[in-house]
Amino acid sequence: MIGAPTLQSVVLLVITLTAIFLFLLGYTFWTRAKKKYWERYGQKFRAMFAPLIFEYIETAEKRRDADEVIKKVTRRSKDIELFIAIVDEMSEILHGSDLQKLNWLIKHPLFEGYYYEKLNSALRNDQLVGCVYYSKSGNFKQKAARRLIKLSISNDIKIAYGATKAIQNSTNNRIRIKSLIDFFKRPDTTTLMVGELLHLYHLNSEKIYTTSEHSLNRLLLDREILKERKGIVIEYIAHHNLYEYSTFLNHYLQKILYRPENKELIKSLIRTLGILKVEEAGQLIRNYSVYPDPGLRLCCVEALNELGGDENLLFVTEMLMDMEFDIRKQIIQTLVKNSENGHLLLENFMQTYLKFPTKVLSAGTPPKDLHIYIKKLRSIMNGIRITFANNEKRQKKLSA
Amino acid sequence: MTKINVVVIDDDELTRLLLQRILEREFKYSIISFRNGLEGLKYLEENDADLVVLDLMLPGKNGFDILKALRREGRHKDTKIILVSAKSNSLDIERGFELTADEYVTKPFQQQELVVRVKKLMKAS
Repeated sequence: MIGAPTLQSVVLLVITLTAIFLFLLGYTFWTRAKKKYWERYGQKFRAMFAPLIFEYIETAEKRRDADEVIKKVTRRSKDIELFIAIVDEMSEILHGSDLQKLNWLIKHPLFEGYYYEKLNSALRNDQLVGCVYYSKSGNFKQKAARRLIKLSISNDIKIAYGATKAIQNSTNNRIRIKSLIDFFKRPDTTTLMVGELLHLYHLNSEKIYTTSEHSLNRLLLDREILKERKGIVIEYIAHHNLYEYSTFLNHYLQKILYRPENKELIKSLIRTLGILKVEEAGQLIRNYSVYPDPGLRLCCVEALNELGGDENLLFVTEMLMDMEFDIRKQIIQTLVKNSENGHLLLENFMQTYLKFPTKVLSAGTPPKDLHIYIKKLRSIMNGIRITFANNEKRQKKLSA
Repeated sequence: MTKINVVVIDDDELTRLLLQRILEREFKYSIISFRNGLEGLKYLEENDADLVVLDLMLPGKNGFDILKALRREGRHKDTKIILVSAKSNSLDIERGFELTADEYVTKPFQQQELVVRVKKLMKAS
């Protein structure tokens, strides 16, 4: 039998649980209703403001014309954020003078004041929203700059990233490169972040000469920046064909020591010097092609092929006798792709060595070393034939 | 004078609205728009159009597929087709022209740029 105090406890528990259940049910319905309400509000807001903004773009002539549209936005924070979201989406579609008119809206004092407050808020989300506004709007006034510089060294990676992105709108290259260096030194920075910041640094600026103390050289020379991040900087230079860095990168490769921790950086440098076609680097790359690391030798083959020229290609052909199958394969593919000199060099190679195995074998059983050499030679010949045939097939397919 | 019929297929609401405004304002064309590739194609299989403005990245069926399907049909052999896309990759542009698109406009664009291209295209027809 259950005693009276126990029964009372059970009843109390049931009542409490029912109350909690009802509260949670009510809360769920309330948040859903709230979400639906704001969705509908957002749709109505868009339906009203999108045509208004388009009309403004069609008719506006001066910065002050933006006031007419902005007058219609109430000071409610929701309206300001919805308005900026529409303008931001439009700036993905429009270009030139149309985009300029959108910028008049984005940079309006109403929004600038609102997002400046957000930037100065103690709340993380507000700070993030502020950083996004300043990075997208291109606004970089002194009062916001001070705050952004402070946020760029925040312990929170997202805030630091947002602030560093916004700083890339500054016209002061010293501040920009400094924030970039600080960010690249952080242990929690990701490859994507490094890539995007580099892109913004490069895009948002007038041409920065490599002799300038604000060029990307500074990132490469900074001892505290991790080597893998320097590798990204070098690959970025290659990807965007920034020829102005050719001489610097060539000197950098000359000075860097061949150590295990430098291998990946050396590979990036060799690849980039090839892509940028820095002929002066040919000798150094040829020197690196005999190093024991197969990955490094592969990089050299690709770079020497990019550099072209009789000397480099002849050197690549000589590397056909490399001990690694993957490297031999890469050399053949590289030379087959190079339809002028590459084909000629491969044909010469075939002619030189074609009869050699038959001659040796007809004279009797060769010693073991020579037998291995002949086996390798035959494998190379077959590789060349197969690659030529595949290349021909591919060409026919393409022209069809 | 018969009114020129234009079909706009783009999943982005603002782009649809913008294209509609430009074409109505500058040319007084009659416009019908779709946000989904399949719906747009279904409409075009049953109706004529003088000009189709087509986004490449669409839900349902992408712009290249729609372009191919339209050119296969006799009804739209001579319909002018403009591809509008954020893809500025030269391979995509090449592919668009290979599939016999008449124009290719990359986003972002200036309104005037689109006006000039449409004017030129429709004058040629």
